[in-house]
Amino acid sequence: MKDRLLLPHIYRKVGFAMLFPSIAWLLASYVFNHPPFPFLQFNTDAAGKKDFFDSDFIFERGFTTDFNGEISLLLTWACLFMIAFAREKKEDEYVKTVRLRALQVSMYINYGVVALASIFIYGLSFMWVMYAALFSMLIIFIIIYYYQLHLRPRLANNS
Amino acid sequence: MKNLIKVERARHDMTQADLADKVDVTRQTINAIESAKYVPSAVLAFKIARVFGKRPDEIFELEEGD
Repeated sequence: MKDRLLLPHIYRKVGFAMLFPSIAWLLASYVFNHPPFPFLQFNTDAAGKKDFFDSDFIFERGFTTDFNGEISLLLTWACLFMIAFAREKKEDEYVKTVRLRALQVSMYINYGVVALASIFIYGLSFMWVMYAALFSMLIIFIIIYYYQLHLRPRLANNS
Repeated sequence: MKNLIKVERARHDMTQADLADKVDVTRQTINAIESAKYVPSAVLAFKIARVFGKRPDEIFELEEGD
């Protein structure tokens, strides 16, 4: 049976090919504060709230925004998603079991880390935890899945 | 669940990849079944037994605790 919830196998190669440029773009935008594409910075009008439960919106005109950060963040996430959820060349019941188990373990680990972070990290720093949580579940899943499916049999054969 | 896939493969001079091709799964799947890390579905167990010309219960055997 063909699994319609997975991407075609070629997407894994696309994900790997685009991952490192998008991480470099992400680091340049967020960590080193040198957004590489200046044409993605433009003035716009923005609406927001001071507080989540505040009923009044605040409108700000001529607000300068930089989409380098947003686009590189989404692109990095998309690359990880493609690597994680691209179909294997041959999908069988064992691959499905490994994928499901890896997904379950990665979800447990990720929620555990976020729960711990919610106890120990406060204020605006917690926003960075949520940013990291966006990626960490996929990264943990990819590590567990590749270890179980590709690395462990190879190590077992060598020993 | 114990199994005699490795023995039967040796008897039929078959590699893991050969068996995997015959039952349309990956080599990793055969490797995981042989090393008792994965219990196959009934369909796959029947397919493997058919390749060796045996009944499934001649290849697969329940262990204590199964």
